[in-house]
Amino acid sequence: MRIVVPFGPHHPALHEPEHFTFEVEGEIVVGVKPRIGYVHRGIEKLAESKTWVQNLYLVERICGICNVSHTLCYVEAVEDLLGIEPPRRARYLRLVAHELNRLHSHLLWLGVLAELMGFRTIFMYAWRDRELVMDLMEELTGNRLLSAYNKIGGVSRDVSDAFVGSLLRALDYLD
Amino acid sequence: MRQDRIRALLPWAEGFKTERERMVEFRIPREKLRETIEALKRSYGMLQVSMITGTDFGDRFELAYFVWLHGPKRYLVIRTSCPRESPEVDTISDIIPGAHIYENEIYDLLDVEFNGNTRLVRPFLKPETMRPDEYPLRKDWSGGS
Repeated sequence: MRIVVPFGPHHPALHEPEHFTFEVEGEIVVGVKPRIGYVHRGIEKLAESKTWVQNLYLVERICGICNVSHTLCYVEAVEDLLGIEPPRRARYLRLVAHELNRLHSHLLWLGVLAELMGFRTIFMYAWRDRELVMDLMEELTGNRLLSAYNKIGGVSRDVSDAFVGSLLRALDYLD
Repeated sequence: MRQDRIRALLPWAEGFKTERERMVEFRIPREKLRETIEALKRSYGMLQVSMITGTDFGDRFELAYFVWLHGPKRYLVIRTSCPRESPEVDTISDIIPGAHIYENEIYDLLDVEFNGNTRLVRPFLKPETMRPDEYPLRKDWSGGS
């Protein structure tokens, strides 16, 4: 016998609203119809009406967790259109920001995954270590999460020698 | 990547460009879309259609299929277009089931019909309060009703 089970759009196990209409036969899921778009923000359309610089802050908010990837894609696309090449030092600094973003992003999902499985210990460890990366991000860019560090043609600020020290210390610890 | 394999496989493809490392871009007529995807799948095995984008160019809608080839580790950007008067292309969702969700997105926001895809629904990403005949990604859409 086929039973239809609606799931969502709000449910404790879901981090964002989405709706699934599951068709089940006993224990077996035989069909699913997803309904997404509850939090669709129309960023593509919004970007059409904004300036090149305003869009930098808009694309950063496509996803807060992996925000550096989005600004990096955006500034590289705009630089391609303008035909400009950012300085070598800026490209390295972008790489540092991107890698820090990657580290905190992976520690975040590891923690969330563990927490959803009920493994609170790993969650605590992963998010404790993530704090170190967030502190580095703050020292590098001035903000823990959304920093708009990548700019069209370069980055927003240079690093200090002190940052290099704290970066190496933190990486040693994370290793 | 040596492009001769792709050129031999898809003699109808033209306008080859490699603006970025590991990315090959070319253009095909819309009638050849299914044939292109089928030929690529036959030749390279597993294809990953990671995105389909639709853009309004006024007189035509341009679709770009971003296909990742696992073997040679290259991105293909397959561009095709349909005139504004007949916004329709053939579906590839029966060849690549994962393409359905992107086809539905373009159908919903740009009103391009994907012939053969019977599962397209509306509203999909649009708010339910928006009129069904509003297509926000079209350039002549002025925003809000």
